[in-house]
Amino acid sequence: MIAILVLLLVWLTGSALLRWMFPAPLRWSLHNVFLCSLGAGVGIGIASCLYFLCLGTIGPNLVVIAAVEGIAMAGILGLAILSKRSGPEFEWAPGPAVLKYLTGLFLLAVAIGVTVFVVYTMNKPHGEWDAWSIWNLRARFFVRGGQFWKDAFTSQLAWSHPDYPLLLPGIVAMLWTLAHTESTAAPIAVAFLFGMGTAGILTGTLGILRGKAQAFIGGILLIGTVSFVENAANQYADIPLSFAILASLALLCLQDRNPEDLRFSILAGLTAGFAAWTKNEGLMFLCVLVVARIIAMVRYGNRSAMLPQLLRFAAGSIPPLAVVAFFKLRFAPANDLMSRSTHDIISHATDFGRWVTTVEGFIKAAFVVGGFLVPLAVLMAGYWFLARFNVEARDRLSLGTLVVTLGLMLIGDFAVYVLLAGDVAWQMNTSMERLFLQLWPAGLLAFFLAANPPQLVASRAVPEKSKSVKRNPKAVRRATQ
Amino acid sequence: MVRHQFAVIALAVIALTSSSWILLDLIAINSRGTENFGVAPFEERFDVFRKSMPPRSVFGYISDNPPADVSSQGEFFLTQYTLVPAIIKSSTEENLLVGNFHTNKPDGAKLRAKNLVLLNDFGHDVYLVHNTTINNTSR
Repeated sequence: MIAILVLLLVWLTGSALLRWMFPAPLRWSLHNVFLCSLGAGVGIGIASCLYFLCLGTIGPNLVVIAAVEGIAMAGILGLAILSKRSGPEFEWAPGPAVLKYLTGLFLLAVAIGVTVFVVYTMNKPHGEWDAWSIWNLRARFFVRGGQFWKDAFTSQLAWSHPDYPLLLPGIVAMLWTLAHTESTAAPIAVAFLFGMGTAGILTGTLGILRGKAQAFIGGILLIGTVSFVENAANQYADIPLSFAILASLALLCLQDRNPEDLRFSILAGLTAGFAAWTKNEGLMFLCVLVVARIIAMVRYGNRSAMLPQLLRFAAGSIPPLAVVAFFKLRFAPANDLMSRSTHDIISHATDFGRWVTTVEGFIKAAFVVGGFLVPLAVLMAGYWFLARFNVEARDRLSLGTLVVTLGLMLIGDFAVYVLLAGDVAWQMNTSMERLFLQLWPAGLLAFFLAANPPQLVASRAVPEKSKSVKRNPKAVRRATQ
Repeated sequence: MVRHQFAVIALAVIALTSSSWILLDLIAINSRGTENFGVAPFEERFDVFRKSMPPRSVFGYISDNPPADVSSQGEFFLTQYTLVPAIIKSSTEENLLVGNFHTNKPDGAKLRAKNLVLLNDFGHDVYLVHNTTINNTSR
């Protein structure tokens, strides 16, 4: 119970930091739902980084850990409460009318998704294979190891990938340490927050950029992705990584709608840094995102805005990256894949069979990933055929960033399989679906940013003349710029 | 308009049906009862062993699982997870080993062939095993 209370405080801290950056009245609104969804990952990222800094510099000292986390939480909460700042509010973008059945289907999807998570968790409260052989194993070493907590990184546990970043073990160990018990409720609640947070960010971002109908459809598809919910309940790090990838890209999309407001780039840098603190693929994502952003801005954006945005992005990513560097340089052993010799890489590259296996795996994944009753590629192609794409000029930069990032990530994953994996067929069987899931929420953002908003009523599309126009015309003006 | 309605309803129905389908599967699995594989049964089996361990120790590992069996690797990982902060090495070349068996009468001949003897029975088919060719413990 204490672990859950501490986690709620962590969530509150993340949300408070965001509310300090983007203040708005405390009430049920898209603005607050979006910030609370994003706040889950931001709060957990900050708490995990602080925990590992304490552990790495002072050791497993409960008082120090509690004091540092407490001061950080109190400081951020105080900042949010005492701040008198005000600013624009995120509102639903104008769009076609939303019929009640769509709202009903969205709520039904949320209810079924939560039930699947709960039933799965009841069956496997400790999560699946990777949870207890990698992530929670590391957390147990931190908590039970005492002064020997660094045994978590010994080469004798090479099979548990001791070089993997520590966002997830860090937050779980922090909760166990402060609660004084290794309750399964801690990793379960963390997994739930990341799953729901990802759905909240996708729905919120689509709502801000494309309107309520598009947001609900995107949300239904993500929450209805069986393997997404399963992997969240498995307590794997792929869903937290998908959270960080989606958050970074969503914030850059919001940056494009609000070019003058560089807070979005700072936050995008912070969440991309948390991606690097979650998994090694997150480090690749961070590099890929910078390259993709530069390409997209050169092609579609205002080039003069590039440097200020990149500088803010770098500023946001530096704190988590410093923690990653501290871990990688001071504690982590070499990565098994990156330790391949040049000879191995050349021999892999010239092995035609590996290319065929990898291509086959990628094509197969496009059909089987997701756990839908209909193959995923057919489902998405069918929706596209009926709804079609219509990319507005103002969304080209955002969509360019999304598509180039996702494309480069897939190329990067492909290269890792072909060049670095040992038994490529085994590696693909055990990881392919999870790699796709890391990119799936951001892929949905790209898809529904490009897709036509559905016209669900016979009359001419009447833009939702929302209460928001009366309340905050500036927000709508900005959203439609 | 009809195309869009069809697209949205089809997408939502497929997503919701897929989720509901897996939910029924999960409920069926839950209703079948407890499994022997997983963290909870291992924590129960190794509880006495764990409480008897010195604070920092390294153990080898021996099991009667077929080596090629997938569950063999899984059980080794579960043993390590259960016994943290001890380090478990997937080898018999240690002075002391964790014996994870599936019978309360492990095959003595097979153990002797590897110079292993049972030292302690912790119940639940969990044993402390000694490698007679190695006499010191070192990390």
